[in-house]
Amino acid sequence: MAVSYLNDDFFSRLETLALNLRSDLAGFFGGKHFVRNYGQTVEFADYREYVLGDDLRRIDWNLFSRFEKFFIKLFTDERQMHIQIMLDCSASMGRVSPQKSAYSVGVAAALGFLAVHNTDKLSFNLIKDGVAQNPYGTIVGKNSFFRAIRALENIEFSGESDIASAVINSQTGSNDGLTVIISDFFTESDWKKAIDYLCFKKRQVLLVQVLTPDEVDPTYEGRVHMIDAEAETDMDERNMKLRITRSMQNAYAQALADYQDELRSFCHSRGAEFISVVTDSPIENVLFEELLKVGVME
Amino acid sequence: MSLLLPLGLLGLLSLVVLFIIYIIKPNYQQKLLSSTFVWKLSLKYQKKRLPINKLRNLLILLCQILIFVLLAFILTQPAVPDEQKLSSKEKVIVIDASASMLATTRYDDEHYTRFDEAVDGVIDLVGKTFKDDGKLTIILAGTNAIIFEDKEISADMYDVVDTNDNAPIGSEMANRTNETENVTKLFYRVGADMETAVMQRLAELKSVCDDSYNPLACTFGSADIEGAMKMAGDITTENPLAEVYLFTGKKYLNNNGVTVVDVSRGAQEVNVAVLNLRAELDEGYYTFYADVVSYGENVEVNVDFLINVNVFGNDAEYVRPIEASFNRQLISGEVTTVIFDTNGPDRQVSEYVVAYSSASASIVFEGDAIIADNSVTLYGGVKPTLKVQYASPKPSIFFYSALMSIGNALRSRWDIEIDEVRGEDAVPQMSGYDLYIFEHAMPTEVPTDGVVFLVNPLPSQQTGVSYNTRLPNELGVMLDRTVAGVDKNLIAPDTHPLINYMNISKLLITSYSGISTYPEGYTTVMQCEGKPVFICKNTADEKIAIMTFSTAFSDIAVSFEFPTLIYNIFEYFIPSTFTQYIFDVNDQITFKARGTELELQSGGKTETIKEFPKEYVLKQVGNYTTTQTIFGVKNAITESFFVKIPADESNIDLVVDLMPGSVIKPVPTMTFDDLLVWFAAALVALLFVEWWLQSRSRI
Repeated sequence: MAVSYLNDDFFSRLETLALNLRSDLAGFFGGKHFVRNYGQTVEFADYREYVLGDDLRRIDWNLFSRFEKFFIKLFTDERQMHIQIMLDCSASMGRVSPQKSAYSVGVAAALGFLAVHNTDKLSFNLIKDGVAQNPYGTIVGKNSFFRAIRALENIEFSGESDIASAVINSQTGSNDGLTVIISDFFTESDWKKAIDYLCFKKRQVLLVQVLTPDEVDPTYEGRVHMIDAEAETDMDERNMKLRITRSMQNAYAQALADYQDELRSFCHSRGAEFISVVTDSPIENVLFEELLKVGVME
Repeated sequence: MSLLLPLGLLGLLSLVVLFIIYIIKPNYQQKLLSSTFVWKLSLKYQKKRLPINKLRNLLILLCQILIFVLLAFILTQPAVPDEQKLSSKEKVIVIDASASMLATTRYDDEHYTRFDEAVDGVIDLVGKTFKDDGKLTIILAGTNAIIFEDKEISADMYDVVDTNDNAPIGSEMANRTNETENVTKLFYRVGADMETAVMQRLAELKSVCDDSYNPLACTFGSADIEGAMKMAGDITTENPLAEVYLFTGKKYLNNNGVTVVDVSRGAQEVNVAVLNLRAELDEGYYTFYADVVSYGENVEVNVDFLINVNVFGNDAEYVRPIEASFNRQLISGEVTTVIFDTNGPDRQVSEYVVAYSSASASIVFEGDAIIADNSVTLYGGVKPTLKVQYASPKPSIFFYSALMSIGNALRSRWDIEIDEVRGEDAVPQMSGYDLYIFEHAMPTEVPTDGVVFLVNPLPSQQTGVSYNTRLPNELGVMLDRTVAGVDKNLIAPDTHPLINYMNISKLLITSYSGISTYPEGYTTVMQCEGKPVFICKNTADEKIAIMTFSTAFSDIAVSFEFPTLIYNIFEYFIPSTFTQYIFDVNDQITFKARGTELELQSGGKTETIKEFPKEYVLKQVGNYTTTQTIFGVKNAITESFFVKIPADESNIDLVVDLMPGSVIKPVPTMTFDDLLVWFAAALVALLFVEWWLQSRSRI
């Protein structure tokens, strides 16, 4: 891969950040994320009356001396989350613009780094056709992460992608973390079903749409035979001939804006987050601005 | 529509180039996109496009094809046949308005002329032409052929009016002139919509001609048939199918494509005319010759002579009229000369005619077709006498010889009497002469009743001069001192009538006195060494020439230039008012005058001419009298001449060999109206549309 955003400087700047996950997630023991449940940490959370079966060691005797009632001292719980990053590896993400794929990998790596940095579990699911491959397994710790990243930089973006099928068929836990789907979402597949599924699984969902400047504002005009990167032959129905005029460009902008609005509104309706980034903007902007804006980052 | 240059259709091959360009030009540029997903979504936003947008490419191609086709057609010079201009219903009508058209029939009390007959014929033809929805042009072949037109439009009309303003004299003619102001109709290639106006104008024309003379109708001169046919030819050039009619009484052996409508009435017309009258001096007595003729039939007529004889009595000169009548049998078409020999055996009168003031020959013939040619008057029977006084203490033989020579040369115009006053003691006359020549001895005063020529007002080289050598003081001319012993050429500073036919520069003088100052009004004629040596003044009251060198000290006297100079003095100071006494109508006369004004009288009307020489076209038949005022004396010189109808116009049976001009024009297969302008306009419009479509294609 010619273009790469991944270097030491990039990761060092990410160390100050952390993923902000919802507190109602369950997660696994041993993480750093505070959850709504009470646990065995040293951080006081609340009191409640003693009931039979409670550990007698946790009775606050100071309160008993005052109220002559038994109160149990409650502490917050911290859990380890599973950050699942699903990267669209179809041809549309990298065949035409290597920068787009590199950018996508960069975003995935950044989010993954934040996960492993916060001792969360991380898995990179590469969506290709209708399958979400997880070639690196569950990643815990930075060593495993960097190994995965080095491999991630060499993956091939080809074929098509069916996000819904890939997500549904993936091994996704329930209520245990964040699922990030990185794609351009220029697909006929029913991505809504994927979000619904993840919501059903009570996972926090973030959609990151990666676009190139040409896709945001196409500058070409005239008679253009547009060949879809995912098309297998010239006769593929996704290819199209079009006379691109100023009005067509306006129509394209309008269509893109409407599509993004649809993505955004659907996500909001499901409690998911959606951001759209353009590859010509610094990748730091995605992390320090867009993700902060939607509250995924803190 | 026709193509005048069909080869231009080869320009359609450019369409092939256009199609090749379209074929070669890549229709769509291939572009690999990440996804066409959004583009497909955007298509539904394009549904709002106007239907024309879908056809834009087709329209652009269509425009380009049409542009190339138009360019090819422009190369072919497209035109549409103009069949209207080639209408055979168009008529060009020429009316002969010569004097012969004034002929009436023999027993006609209505005075119905050939011209009236022609106008009636024209009225019939006009009616038929308009009935067939044709166009027509009416040309009147008068003195100058004109087209009946609104006078505000036709410059030709003004020419005619102006000419006639000058020509007609007398109350009757004055009325004729005024009538020209009423011409207001337009008959140039008019259609049926003008029928009323045309008919009304023709009716007016006829009635005017009946009652009195109309300069736009008949003239007393010849018709300008050639000019009329040229006008008709201009029309037939545009429409060769137009038919040309000539309404005339003359016969043409070769009509040259013109339909001649004969308006003569054959045997009903008889015209007797006096064609000319001349007088010859034989043994001191005049004999008169009158050329008379009859056309139509042989007739017997009386030719009457009336001679106003100048009788020189002992005490006074008076005029006595004498009459003579000669009966002659005239053979039609043959000119008979009737001789009135006042000294012959059949002189009929007791008076010998040695001089006459006027002589006329006339014929009275009942039923004569043209009355205006029945009389001719001849003037000039009394030549004016010019009296010349040559005064010199030492007369020059060259001077006298030159005077005699010129007097002999001009004897047809004048009787020149030369009185020589010689000797130092002789006293010249100071009045009673037409030309005074003072050589060497100058008078103390300038004669006021004639031309004064002062020669060499210088002291003689010999001693003992006792006569006056000073110029009269009243002249105000001052001389320098005499320059002698030179050998200089004369120079003419400018052309002047006094040095006509003279080569001044070859003349040498050896003694002269330059003129230092002279009053306003004099003109320098000759110079020597920059000084005037010959000046002159020619006004109505002063006619003076001053030559300040002697013929004895110049070679002028022994050269041809000297008699020429004397001749020029006569011509310049004493010109003949006119040079002959009988003119034809439409002849041009040149009036000259000794004074500043000349009154021209005829029939009671007087016209004053103030610029000379004056070219003048004589339009009317009759007597003309000129009167000049010179040296302050009115009626000092009175002369007369006569204007008659041209001899050919008296010939009512005239046969002309060939119609002048040519109205036969090649008939083109078609005439065309050029369509280039329209094609060019369409081309510009298409270019604009194509540009607009191209500019909208990016939107």
